[in-house]
Amino acid sequence: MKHTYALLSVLALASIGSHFACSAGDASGEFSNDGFGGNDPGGLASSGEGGQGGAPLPPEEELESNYSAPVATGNYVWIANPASGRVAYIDAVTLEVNVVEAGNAPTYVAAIPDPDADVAIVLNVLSYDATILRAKGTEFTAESLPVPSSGNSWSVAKDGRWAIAWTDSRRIEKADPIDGFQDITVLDLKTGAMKSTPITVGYRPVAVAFDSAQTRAFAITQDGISVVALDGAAPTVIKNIKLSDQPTGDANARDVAITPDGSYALVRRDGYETINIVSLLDGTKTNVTFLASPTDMDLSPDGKTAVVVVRDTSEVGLLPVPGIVSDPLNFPLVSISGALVGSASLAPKSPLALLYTNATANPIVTVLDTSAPQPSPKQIQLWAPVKAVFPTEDAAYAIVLHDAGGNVGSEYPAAMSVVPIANDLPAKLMGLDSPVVSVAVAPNGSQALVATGDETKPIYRLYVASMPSLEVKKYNLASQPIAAGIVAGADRGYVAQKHPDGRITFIDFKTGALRTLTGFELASQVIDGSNP
Amino acid sequence: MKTSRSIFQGLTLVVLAGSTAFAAAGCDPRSPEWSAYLDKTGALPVGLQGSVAIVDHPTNRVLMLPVEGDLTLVPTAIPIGHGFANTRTTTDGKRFFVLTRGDVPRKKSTDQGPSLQVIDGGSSPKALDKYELTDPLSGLEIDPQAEFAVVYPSASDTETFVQNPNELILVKLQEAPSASNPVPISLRSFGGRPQAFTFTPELEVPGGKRRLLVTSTDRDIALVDLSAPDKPEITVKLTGGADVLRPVGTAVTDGEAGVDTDARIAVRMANDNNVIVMDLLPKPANSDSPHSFLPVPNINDVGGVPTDMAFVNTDGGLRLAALVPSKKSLTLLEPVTGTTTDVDLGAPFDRMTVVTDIVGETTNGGDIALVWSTSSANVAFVALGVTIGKPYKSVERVELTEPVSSVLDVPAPNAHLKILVLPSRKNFIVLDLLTRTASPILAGSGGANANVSRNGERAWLVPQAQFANSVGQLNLATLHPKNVYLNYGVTNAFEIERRDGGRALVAIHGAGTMGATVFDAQNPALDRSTEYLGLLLGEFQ
Repeated sequence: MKHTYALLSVLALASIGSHFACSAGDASGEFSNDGFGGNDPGGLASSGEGGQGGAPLPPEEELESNYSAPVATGNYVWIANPASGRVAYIDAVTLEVNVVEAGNAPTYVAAIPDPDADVAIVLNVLSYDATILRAKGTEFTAESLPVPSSGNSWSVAKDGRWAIAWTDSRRIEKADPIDGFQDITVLDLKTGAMKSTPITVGYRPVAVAFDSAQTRAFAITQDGISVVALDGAAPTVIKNIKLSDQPTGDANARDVAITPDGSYALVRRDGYETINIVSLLDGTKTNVTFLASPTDMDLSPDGKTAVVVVRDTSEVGLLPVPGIVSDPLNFPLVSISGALVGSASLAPKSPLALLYTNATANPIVTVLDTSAPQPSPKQIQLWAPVKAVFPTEDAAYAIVLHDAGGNVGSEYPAAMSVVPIANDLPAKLMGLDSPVVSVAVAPNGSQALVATGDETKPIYRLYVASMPSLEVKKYNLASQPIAAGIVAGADRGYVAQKHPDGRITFIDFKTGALRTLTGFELASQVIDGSNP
Repeated sequence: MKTSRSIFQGLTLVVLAGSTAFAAAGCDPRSPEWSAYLDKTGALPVGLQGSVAIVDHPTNRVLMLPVEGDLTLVPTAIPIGHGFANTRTTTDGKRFFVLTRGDVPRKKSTDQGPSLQVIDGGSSPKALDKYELTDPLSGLEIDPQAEFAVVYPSASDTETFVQNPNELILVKLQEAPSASNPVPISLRSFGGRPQAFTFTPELEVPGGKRRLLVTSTDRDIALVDLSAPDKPEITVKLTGGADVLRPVGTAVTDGEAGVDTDARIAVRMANDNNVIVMDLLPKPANSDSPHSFLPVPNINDVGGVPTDMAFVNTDGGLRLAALVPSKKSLTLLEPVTGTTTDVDLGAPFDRMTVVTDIVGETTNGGDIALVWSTSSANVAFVALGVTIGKPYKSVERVELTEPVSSVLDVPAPNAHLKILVLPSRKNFIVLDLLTRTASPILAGSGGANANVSRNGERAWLVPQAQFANSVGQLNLATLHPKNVYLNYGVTNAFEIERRDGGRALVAIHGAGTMGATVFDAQNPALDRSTEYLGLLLGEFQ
């Protein structure tokens, strides 16, 4: 599952469940155009470059995390306007725009899971508080809680009871090294008993997560993992668990995944051949060693399998969790031949792992069933180098983004493929008129949105892929996309775009009709006589 | 040439009758009109379909001047209320509207109230309906379809002690005066006051077809449902906080026939790069709005301050075409997505009109726009059929000697012509939209004012110079000019329909108590004209 953070003008860094991708390229928001080896669209000639004595390949880029969406709840899209102090919420069914007053400079919005209502929370960075916005039918309420730490990120518990405001230093340009951003604020959103608790965690948190029981929160910091007890009278930091014997290690160069039950943290470091499995109960560490340094690690949605990709040996380790702790030498290690793999993309509701590399020009996606006793990799030949893979929830299809410019020789700056995974059918390749900014896949897997934009041209497009037809329709957008998303309850997709007054384009998946709303605050300034 | 007979005959009769009445009564004062001062301020003659109207407001009357077949004037004085304020005509010239404010302040019950007098502008002029108004206001606008009039406070309405500048009076011109007609409308105010009005054509919107009155204040837009003016208006506040957005122009489209969710109103603002396109969509299901539709506004940046705009059809569908002189382009805005395409015009054009009805659509079904400039000596025809997403190659420019200050439409049968008025008014251009030729017409060193006959056959040029005693006739079929010389200085000239169905030119002499020379419009000659002096002295009742 992906948590997304909708911002008006700031690309959010997404966290994937309790898996925290912290590689160096996370915050760039742009793809690099790595060279593609000659004119061979298969690219196999260069696929072994990194692992067979050639020049070292660069780290894998965890690009998927850059494609976040504005905040959508069941029926609404929420967008904050820091300048006006208001938050617009748009009914994705009727496209009615409403605007509500928040605090001073409402900037960071997050969705709060709620079974009965559409709920969002916005961090007001200048008034040091948060406004909890709740829409239910025709009723709307807004309540505030203090957030003395301020921040630029939200982490929200799955049941909506807890929200934590914290500061991701990677979003702050030229952050002073003395600024540790250790203050975070835990908000208890229990109905009728909301309260705010400021606490202190380790130096420069990079992610905050919750266990599935919602009794613990974990702040991954450069000091280790600060464990916050949520089941006491007030949220309290009860311990700090070091992840490494090298406390000054670069937090950006490691992946940390926490199991859903909060028992273990799995840690991968660039350049290290071991995966560290740390007990969050007692701090004991278990090391799982590979022949080369793993280049990616993802935890399956159920937390039972850690998929570890070792690019230099073209191997994928499937670590059973928690069994690996007691027997760290016993796990399936699948060798991938015929294609280089360095990254994995896991579908939320499928055991399939989609493997690829974007460290070199590679047009192959390898499919691996992580639940199989003896997984047999299946390779899918595509026709341009893979940059990122976005599977549907059931992994029946995937949207694959490609490099197209540079040495590929295409006139297109980028490309995408709509790839049938479940069926052995050819993928649909489509040239894109501008670089990809955002990707969103509908939960039911029937549609995917790819928003592209190049402000220097300027060319702004929305590509809508339909499955299973693999049809891709292209639409013009009025300005540079910020993020795409899906409002599942309304069967609509949307693309938020840059505009001083706010702009969002909705697409109705049933009819294909587009409608762009620009100027959210103006839209709320229609007085129709219903409330004289 | 015949001279002044009918006016003075009438005057003599009136004087005699008045003297007799005075003598009979022994003490009755003479009619107050005889003591009225001569004031021609604001009393510009107006050419109507079959009459020329002169508002003689000191005597509270309108002098209507129809013409017999023998070129004699048949002056008819039609009383109007006290306190003349404003006049308007319908587009076809068949109706003349005179707004009066009544006696202000109104101290006695016998003092007159404000009213709107409707006058038949044909060759047998007469007073039609008179609508009593509740407030003494001076602003008046007439619906181009002549179904409605709106009376509103103008900036000069300052005499009353208490005034609501957002109070309008809507007059249903096709209904007789009644307790429910006129309809007072009090706009909710957000600090502005009405500045301009647009009567839309019939729009197919959710809830059924209807017309709207778009009221622009200096900071917002109000929509009045003309099918139900008693409903509260819908206001779109354009201005919030310190940013002041002043609407200065609107454009309206009904969209596709049979579709009730694609009517739109576009608004451009002063000194602002944005145009606001309001989609008229169904009200939300949970809304308790009294309206079946509501505007959903969208802000669209067209890259510069637009000076004119219109909805047009292109091969890519409906677009809002906005002229942006700073970019020397025509920006085509797709109203659904807000995407824009610039058509390079090569010169800073600032005014436009769609001429598809005259010249026919492009092969792709697109509109043709005529654009002109008040700063650049060009006009251009823009074919909107091949613009979307392609390099633009269908701008046909015609170079002129001067920029264009205004454009006069020509009715059928010469609707394919436009008369371009150049700033010096020494040169006029007759632009043929079909052949795309521009024929210059020179108007002498003093310059001239031009108007076009309602039958579209001629244009008349009247010298700007005071006391100039000539009128120029321009045959629009042949572009042959003919100069007609008169005995008195001419201030205005109007071609009207005579009572015998022929055409007459009534040249107005503005000096003194005003006079007129009446010509046969088709073949004007002084020796076959009739002259009248002392027009304002005649026809007292």
